[in-house]
Amino acid sequence: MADWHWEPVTDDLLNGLPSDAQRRVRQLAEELTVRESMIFLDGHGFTGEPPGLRTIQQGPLMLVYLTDVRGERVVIIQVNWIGLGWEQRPTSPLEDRGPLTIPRHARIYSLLSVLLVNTRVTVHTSNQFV
Amino acid sequence: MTAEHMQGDEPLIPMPALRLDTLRQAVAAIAPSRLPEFFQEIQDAFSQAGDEDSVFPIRHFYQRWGATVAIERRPSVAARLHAAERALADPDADVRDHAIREAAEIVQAAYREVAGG
Repeated sequence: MADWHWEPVTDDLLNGLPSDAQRRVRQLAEELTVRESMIFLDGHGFTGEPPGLRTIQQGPLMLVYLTDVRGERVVIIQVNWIGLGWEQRPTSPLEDRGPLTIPRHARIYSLLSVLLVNTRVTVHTSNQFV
Repeated sequence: MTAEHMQGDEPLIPMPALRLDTLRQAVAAIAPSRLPEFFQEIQDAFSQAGDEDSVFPIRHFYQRWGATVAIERRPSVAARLHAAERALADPDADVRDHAIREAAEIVQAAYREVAGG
């Protein structure tokens, strides 16, 4: 993948995210960069239409990114992380339990009702807690 | 110029609630050409949610399309974003850097709006 790399649009983009979220951002961004390097083989010599704004999601994580093909880089411009409230407490013993998983019995037929109940879900949008 | 709204750039519609029906109506009103994409993504989100036993794909769908509506309901903001996307074809690295920062400001402002911030 030669010179391909990824970078956050600002140095503080990941600030305030839980450590697990930061780890998963880096992992997903690395995978994304490898994928882009395999798609846009021209790299610096690319003369086509740029791919524009895109998103990728994996579990509770969603990245919004731009691919600068000529610059051989993926720039992460927005990070959304959906987590439960306890993930905001860095001293919690639950911190390292990994990503939120939904019980096996929560099948598709129940998803709409799950969305309607007032579960304590927090959305981190980049460095902002909501 | 910041990503916040320019004076005189009144939104075409109010910001809708993050529900399927209100988002669909908003997309139909301000970006009807994107309705097929909207329907495909909601179908994908529900399929993925079922496969993974997770509500995350659906929540991401709402956030993503909420942000899209937040941008597209202000034509000048949408125009700036699309210009920035096109500018990534420029051979000048400085132009591309500026375009990325411009797009980031717009997108981050949109997600803040979706989050009510």
